[in-house]
This record gives sequence, C-alpha cells and structure tokens, in this order.
Amino acid sequence: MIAVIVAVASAWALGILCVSALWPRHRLVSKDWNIIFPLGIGVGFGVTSGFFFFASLLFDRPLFLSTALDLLCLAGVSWHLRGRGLLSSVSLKGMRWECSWLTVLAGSILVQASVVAIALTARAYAAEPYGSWDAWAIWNMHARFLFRAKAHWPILAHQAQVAWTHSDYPLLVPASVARAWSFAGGESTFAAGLISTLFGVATVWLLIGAVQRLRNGFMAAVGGLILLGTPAFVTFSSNEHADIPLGFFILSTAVVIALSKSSRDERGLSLLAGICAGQAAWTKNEGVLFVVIATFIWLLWSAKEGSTRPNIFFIIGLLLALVPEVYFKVILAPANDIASGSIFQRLGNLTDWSRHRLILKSCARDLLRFGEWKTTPFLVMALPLLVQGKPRLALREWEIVGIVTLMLAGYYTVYLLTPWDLAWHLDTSLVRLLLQLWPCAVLLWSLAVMPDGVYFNRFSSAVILSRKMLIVFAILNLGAFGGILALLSSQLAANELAVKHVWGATARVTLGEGWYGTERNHRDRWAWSEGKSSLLVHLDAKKPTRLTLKFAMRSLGDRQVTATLQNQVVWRASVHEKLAWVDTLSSIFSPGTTEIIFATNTPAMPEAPAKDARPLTFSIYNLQVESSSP
Amino acid sequence: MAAVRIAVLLPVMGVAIFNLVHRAETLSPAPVDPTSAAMDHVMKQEKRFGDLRRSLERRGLSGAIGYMGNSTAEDPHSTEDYYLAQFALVPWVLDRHLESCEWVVANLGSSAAISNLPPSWQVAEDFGDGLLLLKRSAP
Repeated sequence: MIAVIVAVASAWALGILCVSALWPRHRLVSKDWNIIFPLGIGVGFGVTSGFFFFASLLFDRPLFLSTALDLLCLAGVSWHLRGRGLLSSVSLKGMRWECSWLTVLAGSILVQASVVAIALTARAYAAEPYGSWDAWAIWNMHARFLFRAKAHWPILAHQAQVAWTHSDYPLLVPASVARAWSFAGGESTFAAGLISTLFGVATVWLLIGAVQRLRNGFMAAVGGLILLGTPAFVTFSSNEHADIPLGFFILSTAVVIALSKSSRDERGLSLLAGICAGQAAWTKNEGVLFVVIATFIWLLWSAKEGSTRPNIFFIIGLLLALVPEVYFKVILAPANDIASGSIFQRLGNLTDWSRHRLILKSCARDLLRFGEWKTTPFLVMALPLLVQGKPRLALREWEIVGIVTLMLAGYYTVYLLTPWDLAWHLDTSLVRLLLQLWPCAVLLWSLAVMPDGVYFNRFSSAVILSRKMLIVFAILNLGAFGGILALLSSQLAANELAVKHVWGATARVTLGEGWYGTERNHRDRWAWSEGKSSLLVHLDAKKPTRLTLKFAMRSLGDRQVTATLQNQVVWRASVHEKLAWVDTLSSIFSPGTTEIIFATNTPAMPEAPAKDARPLTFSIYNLQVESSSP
Repeated sequence: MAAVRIAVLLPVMGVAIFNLVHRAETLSPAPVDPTSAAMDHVMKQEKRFGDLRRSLERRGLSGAIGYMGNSTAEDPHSTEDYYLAQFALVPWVLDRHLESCEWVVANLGSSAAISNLPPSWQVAEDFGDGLLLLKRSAP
C-alpha cells in the first residue's frame, strides 16, 4: 500500500511542479494553490503515464526507465522554478481565506458533505474492488496486459480474440495503474481504486478552487455541493472507469481558459490549456472530439481578439500531450469500432428522423437520471438564473458555453452516425457522456449565477468572523463530523441482517449461501431464499452466549421451514403468504461463526409470470438479535 | 435584492444535501464477511481462477489458449464468464475457436459437465467447480 501511495504521490508532486512552472509569473502560486494542486493530479498522471507507456514498449521492467524520465522531468521543472524563485516564495502566508459568516457556513456544510461523499466512495469501492463491468473488462484489463505481458503487451493486447476489450482505447488510466503496480511489485485493487478516486477528488477540488478564484468562496461551496450532491458522480469516482478522469480534463481545460481571461499573452496558461486538452484525448476516445472542439474554440477566440501568439503555445502544449496518444493510435491500436467502415455510407443517417427522435427522447430521459438523483436539481438551479436575469459571464467564460454546447452537439452527431444499434448504444453510454460534461456544466452555472461577487460582497462582507468565532465553527464542525461518522458506522452492511452489542460482545447475523441478497424499504429489511439457505451468526465474545433470533417470515405458497444448527433441528414453523412474526429461534452459540441452515419442504415458485422471474421460497424479515447469559 | 439572490441559492444546497443523504441511506456498507456468498462476482472468479493461472505459469505456456465455456446449457452468463476468465488469465489470450489450440481452459460451471467433454481432449488438471485445463489428445 505504501509503494502505491509513493507512486501516486510522486506523480502528483511532478504534476504540481509542472503546473507551477507554467503558472503566470505575476500570479502568486501561493494564492492559486487551490487550483494548482488539483490540476497537478491530472497533469502528473498524464505525464507519468506517458513515460511509463513508452518505457513499457522497450523493457520488460519499464519502471526503471519511466522513473528516470520522471526524475529528469522533475529536475528540469525544479530548476526552472528555482530560476523563477518560485520554490522559495511558496508559503502559506500568502493564502487568502474568506471569512464572512456566509462563506464559513457554506464551507462547513461542504466539509460535512465531503465526509459523507468520501465514505460513500469508499463503500462503492469496497462493494466492487475491481470496479463495475467497463472497469474490469476494459480499463483494468488493459492495465493487466501492460503489467503482466511485459514488453509483449502490444502484441497480446491487440489480438483479434480480445477486440471486445476495446484495444484501441487510450491508456492514461491503465498506464497509471500499471505504473503503481510496478512500484508495488504486484497488483492491488487499491491502486486502481485510489487513482480513480483521486480524479474524483481533483474534480471537486478544482471546481471549488476555480469558482473561489473567479467569484467567491460561498459560490465555490455551492458549486462543490452540487457535484457532491450528484450520487452517480460520488459512487462513480472510485469505480475505476475513465469517465471521471475525462470529465476532469474537460473541466481543467475550461478552468485554465477562464483564468487566462485577463491576458492572452499568458504563455504558460496557453501551454497548460493545450496540455489539459491533449491529456483528455490520452484518457478516452471522446477526448479526441474534445481536442477538436477546444482547439476550434481557442483559435476562434484568438482570431476574434486579433492575437495569435498564445495559439502557438496552446498548440505546443496540445502536441506535447498528444505524443503518446498519436504514437498509440497510429502505430499500435486497431481501428476504432465506431470510426471503422465507410462513414460516407452512414451519412444518410443524418436525415433519418427516427434516429433524431430516439436520440432526443433518450437525452430527455437520461438528463433527468444520469446523476442518479432522488430529486433532480435542475429546477432549483434555474431559480437563481431566473432571479438574476441573463448570465453575466466574462468574455473568456463564454468559451466554456461553447465547449459544453459543441461537445453535446458532437456526441449527438456520433450517435446519428454510429454503426451500432442506436438504442443499445444510447442505453449503454449516454449517462456516462453526460456525467463527463457535468463538472464543466456546474462550473459554468456557478460562474453564471454570481457575476464577480458584487452583490455577494454587498450582502455579506459587513459581517466578518473573528478568529474566536472561527474556532467555534471548527469545534462545531468536529462535532458534526463525529455525528456523521457515528451514523454511517451504525448502518448495516449489504449482507447483514442484524447486529447486537451487549456486555462487551458483538453478535452479527449475515446472509450465507442461497439468498438473493438483502432488500429494504423505509420500514422493512428482508431477504428471499432460493430454497436451501443459511444464515451466519458471528459472535465476537469470550464465552458461549445464548442468542435469540426474532424475525418475521412470508412465503410464496404455504410451506414448512426448518432451521438446523449442527445437524440438529432448532426451529420449525409453517409459513404463509402473509407476513407474520413467527416463533423465535433461541440457542447457545459458541464464539466464532456458526451456520444456521434453513430448508423448506416445498419447491421454489417463480415470483412473477415473466420468463426471467426469480424462483423464490420464503423470505426472512426484520431480524433482531437478543442475547442473555447461557 | 441581494438577500433574495443569496436566498435562491439555498434550495440548491438543500437539494444537493438531500440527494447525498438519500444515497448514504440506500448505499449499504460492503459485505462484512468477504468469504460469504455476498462477495463481488469478479472477486469470486479471481479466486476461482487463481490456481489455474499458477498452473499455466508453471507449465510455461504463453500466447493464445483455447476457451471452452458451458455451451451445453443455455447459460445467459456464458459471455460474462468468458470475459471474467480472460480478465483473470491475462496475459494469456483466450480463444473460443479451439481448432488450432493445444491447450484449452474449460469453464464448465459444474463438475458434472466433465463427462460431456469431447474425446479429443484429455484433462491435464482439474481445479474443481467445473474448471479444467485440457490438453489435446494425441491422434
């Protein structure tokens, strides 16, 4: 685990130094640390994954060469920073802290929301350590080819038999994971989960830092809360896909564009914008579309301003970041399945109105559900815009409107031209595409609803918190933090039916074999049995303890259910369709894990007439454990 | 007016918090006993294929190896089983076309299916639970 953390931290440190080196001379690094640090995560992984990719083509053990390249880059950037006197000037003294009560209140809520979000991200990771389908079937699969096949990986990973793994997908995420595994000397799901989660953290952090820099702390907290209040974003962050990293690079390009609003002569920011855009293409194929759009927007705006100098630096940054992507696509990767075949034959799809209808219908459906919200936030997000009137964005910020709009138009066109079954393609990808653009859309909203903090300052700057009040807020936050952790830790695990703490002992009942998993509503928690099934009683105690299990049962059809413990029948009851409390099961349990086996005398019945309906027997409801001395 | 403009942001924060809290209520902590039936299906397959992978390494096999799934039954999960087998066995490339393969991974789902194996294959190693390494019989 430590080696993985070293691998990740070294990439991050390199990224921070690279971003700092490109930061404009007249802006204090210490003032913009809230933007530089999260940007460093993405840039660091982009640079180190590129080095690792090239090294992996040459050597069976690519870590030596890739680390040497990392160090060379680190030394070069440090020398450059030293020349600028930046390293010595970085200190916490210059950091600006907004202290209006409104900002501190919103910030406190944001901190507590972050605690919950981190807990949920960790839960999502623990439930699927290898990630969900695309994570293991594509991204972690490619990481394994890079790590396990050594220098032969390009031959093996691009065989026709494994074309279903999408061998043409870019390698920023897989190469970063394989690099971390090389540091650790072995595979661990922790590395993939950590890298994935860091991109989620960086996205929220960058959004907050950028809005704070461009508007104010209060608005930054609101924007951050919207992202954290998007459950799909929170749980997807640790899911080891490449959609959150791509969303990060889209957001980072937008942030750098918005920051360079004051002067187009900021060569470093132009270079950085190009690098961020290029790394989007090295992350996912949709990033190639983003590169085209970002370049178009950048050049268009430069032409409008009559300035050409920053264009050169944007293009240099873009080309630098695209080196591994271009080599991979031109030399190694097979043709992309969507782009292969004659695109001209598919141009007729552009006038196929049934396809337009289907895409629009899916967009309307998925716009409401892609965040997996319980309550969709769009209505309340529209309120501030309605109150305010037209959004007052700065000139460069309108470029973000262009990016989001053109990306949506680009995705729309790809769907029109896709060779795949359109309905299937929409069903399996649209929510992820919307999630990629969501952080950028939230940034845009946060900037649009509060133009330059004018009315915010008028309303809140009169009440500045004293240091004592800040300490009180900090203590209150700690209290809330403890309360949230206590609430979260009291929740039952996915396979848990009951927990009882008594006299220094803990009794825990979990599902064993033969169940369909726990289900719940606001009142009940239950599990259906396939037929023969078992409950596991875990007793953490020094001596045998009498435990009593109380539960309700219902069944599909009338049946008798028997419970046996070490081949002895300890409980038997007739169970019917109507839910009812039944006799309790009481026995003396030894410390450790004991299995109670439930069986029934009647075969399972389908729960519904449908073909794929589950065959069910009986279900156990609202199990409670009570204990007493033996 | 400034107060109104701040006030209209409060519902945004409220909805965000509500959505987060709701997810916290519905997303249970991961299963407490990793050896139980509630284990993630990818983890289960990783564990299941572990011995086979070590056997392939020991035998010094490389490149493409045949893959025989549970084709005798109408198993809706057969494609997923194949993908999971490939994920577990990287860097070997699993080929569903067995004609040119000398070695085959048989992922039959249950030990009972072993009796239906084609005669051209002999069991080189049985890893239990319907997972076998087969070698083409000499003609």
